[in-house]
Amino acid sequence: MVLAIAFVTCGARAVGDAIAGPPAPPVEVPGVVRVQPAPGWELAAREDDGAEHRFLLRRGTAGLLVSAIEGFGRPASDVATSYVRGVLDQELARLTVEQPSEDVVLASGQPALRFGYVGETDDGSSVEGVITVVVPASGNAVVFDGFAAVGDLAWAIDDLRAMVDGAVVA
Amino acid sequence: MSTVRGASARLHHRSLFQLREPAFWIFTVFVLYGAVRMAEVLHGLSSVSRSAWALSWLLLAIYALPVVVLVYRLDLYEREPISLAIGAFVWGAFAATALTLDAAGWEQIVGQVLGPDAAARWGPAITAPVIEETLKGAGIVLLYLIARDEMDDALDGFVYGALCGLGFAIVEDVLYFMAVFGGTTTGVLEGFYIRVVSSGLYGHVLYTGLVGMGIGYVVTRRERTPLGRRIAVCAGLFTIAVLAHALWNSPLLEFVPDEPIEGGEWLLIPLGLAVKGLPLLVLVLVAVKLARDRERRWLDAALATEVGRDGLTADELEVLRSPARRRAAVRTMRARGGAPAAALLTRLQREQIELAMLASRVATPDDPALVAQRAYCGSLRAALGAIPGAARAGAAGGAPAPDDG
Repeated sequence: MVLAIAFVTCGARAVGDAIAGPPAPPVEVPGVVRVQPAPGWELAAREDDGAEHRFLLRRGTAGLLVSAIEGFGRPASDVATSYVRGVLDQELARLTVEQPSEDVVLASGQPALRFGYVGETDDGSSVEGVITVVVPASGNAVVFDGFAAVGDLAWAIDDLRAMVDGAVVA
Repeated sequence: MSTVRGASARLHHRSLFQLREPAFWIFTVFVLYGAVRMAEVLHGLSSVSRSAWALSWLLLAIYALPVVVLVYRLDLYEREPISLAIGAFVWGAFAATALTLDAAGWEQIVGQVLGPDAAARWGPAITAPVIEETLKGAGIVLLYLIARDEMDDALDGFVYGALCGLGFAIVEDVLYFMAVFGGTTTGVLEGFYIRVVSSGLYGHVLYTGLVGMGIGYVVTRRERTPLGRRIAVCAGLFTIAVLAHALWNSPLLEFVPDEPIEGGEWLLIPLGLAVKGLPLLVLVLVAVKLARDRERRWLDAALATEVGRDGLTADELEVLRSPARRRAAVRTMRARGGAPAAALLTRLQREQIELAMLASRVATPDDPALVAQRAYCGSLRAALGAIPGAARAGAAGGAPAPDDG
């Protein structure tokens, strides 16, 4: 009985790692941000528009959307507000954003702002996510938006933290 | 007499707290883990809006209480021990929900295999039913291992399963109200209307009730049904539960109006959801009816040789067969003989059901435990007859007349 429960609850990690294959190569916006995908994660989309860059890493229903703006030159709280209004509000219905946001220090030593959100996509799927905003001394702004279907984020959070904490932001 | 009462007591009414059973400790560890894990999750959601969070629990309590009473009273003759019933509910509410969160990785694997879009659309239908029904069912198996004597037939399994499913549904609903419906008062009310008012008759109570019924069938039909057939029936019921759950979670047969829902469209939601939920509800009602009919047949068979002996009269058996007639008899007794007489009649009815339990388990009709139980029932009837007014209540029908055995 215990083995059956253990397989149902923990087996997914082992099976997922077994079919994940080797880690994908790092994804980089030169001079702004560099992210090493965790095992099983791969680059799903990328857009570069002048000083604005976005790329999406995915694994299953989880994703890490990285948005970078060169020379944004405003504090992290402004970047967060701008992201909520310009991206989350536009893409998600029933949006709930965690307040207040939390000041954190990434493993790389970078100070950052972090908050969670929950919303619903156009097709009715509910997603939950964690936003991490980093504004280094260069004035660039980088937003890490880690998300997953509701209930799945807990499973993906370790990978998301590893990628965000290990990211090089310049 | 005390020895006999002890023997009878060992047959039934075991509590959850069987400290010598390894299954009890496994059950306890998982429930404690689940309670800590879910307390953390629920506490986090309460920060969205404390008033909406409190409203969620209040509304769900209003929904859960009548369902608990309804499910608990399904068993015609021997209600399950309260501690075991609570154990089933708590397993569903905390252990099964927490373990389900831990098992979310299976949906990621579906995403890796089918791609993120297909996983978002079909993942909940592919993974959640198997995972959730397995984890809830594991709790019912543990409860059986803790108190084997308390699962006497498939209906007992249904009762434990349905209570486990209800516990799961309550906590899941709070998560949905707060996380998916926005966590505002309006969102909670909207969630309550969609997930409880419109679809509260379907869902986890039915799925896990069926799973529990299958487990009950396997463990209680040992003497008359070959193992292969019992396992096939259990697997069949589990499969029906999983498929019904999968259909509910799937994008198939979606007749609920698209957002934003306005005006009269709200009234279409229960109809749209009934398309998916009603067939299973009918199936479960039929299954429960069959199980209750079987209980009646069991009682008749168990007491066939007892009618006319010290423990039971023919009139008493007629009353005993129907819960409604038993309650009516107690009401009549209370009106004519007072509360002590009503309590004594309730006790007599319970002991006559114990008599049926004993009669169906002992090898011979002159087994000492059975003889003593007959005598005990007779003594209760005699005591009842000594209460002024009780004899008249018995003569009025529905209650035993004193000294008529």
